[in-house]
Amino acid sequence: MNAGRLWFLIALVAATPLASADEKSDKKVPAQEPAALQVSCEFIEIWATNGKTPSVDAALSKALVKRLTAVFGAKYNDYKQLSSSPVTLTKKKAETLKLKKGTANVTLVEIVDKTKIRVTIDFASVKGKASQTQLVDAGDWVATAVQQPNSDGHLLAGTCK
Amino acid sequence: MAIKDIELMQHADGELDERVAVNVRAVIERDADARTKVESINEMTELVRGHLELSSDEIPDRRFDAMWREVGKAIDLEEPVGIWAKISAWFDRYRGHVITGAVSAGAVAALALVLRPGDRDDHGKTNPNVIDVQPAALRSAPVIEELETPGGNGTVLNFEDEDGHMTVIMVTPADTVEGI
Repeated sequence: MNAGRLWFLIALVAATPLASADEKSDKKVPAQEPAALQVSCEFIEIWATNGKTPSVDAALSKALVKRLTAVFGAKYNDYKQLSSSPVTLTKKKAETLKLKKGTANVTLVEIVDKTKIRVTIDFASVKGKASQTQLVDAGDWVATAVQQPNSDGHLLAGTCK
Repeated sequence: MAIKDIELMQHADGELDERVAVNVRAVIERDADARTKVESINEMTELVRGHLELSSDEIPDRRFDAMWREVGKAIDLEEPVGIWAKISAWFDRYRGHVITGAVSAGAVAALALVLRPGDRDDHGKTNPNVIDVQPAALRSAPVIEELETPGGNGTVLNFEDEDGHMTVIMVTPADTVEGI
């Protein structure tokens, strides 16, 4: 082994732990860190109908579609994404979502155990509205589905992490 | 043409210019006395060389060792004396290797920082505001703590699979003919 290769190997061994030091230091003191004051969420506005042929908007994530079809069964077979709103929630600050139909406000009440959030969602659909406060784990989904007079459904689904 | 003895000796030792050597060789070929002298000089040269080689073999190894130590001391005197001077001399000697190592270390560290997994959202952007996403098996179903559905009826459904939970609040306005 010539000297150049030897020095390269020494540098490789020395630099690798340096590069990961930041990540390791994050793991050392999680208990002392202040809880995150913001969370990132994404809310999807969906219009659901029962059409002649099943149809799912390609923009919708497969995980969400899987759950929607499991919950609604045969009631709806046509899901169209009306809007998608990535939003960063700050504690105690209401955020207004940009929806195609109706209005929605989301407020992060608090972060619990750094793994859950308590969130209030006010969703006013074309017809009908709901206001809810719930405790939800990061990564799980919450949804509100408002039945419309023509049996269509106006849905607002969201997940935070 | 007469030739001097000194020229014969220089010829025997190969010390003559080529131009002069040509003349001397021509004289030697013609002159038997000169040829005899040159042969005698060559024999003397061989005798002296052999004698010197034998003399050097008789010198004990320790004397050679002593001589090399003296040579070593003379070389060391040219080396830097202070610690910083030695470090500086070391860097001078291995400058190329040190630079290679430093550049390699920087490149590896940069690659590792770029390639290490980070917190990224669904759009591939770095997300500094994350809370910990636990494995689905460790999560609990969402809890509806407050629910108001003015002018309608609310029903809560929970769905759970290997990817986690989903809670759906189904709202049916009171004047809607068909309920969910």
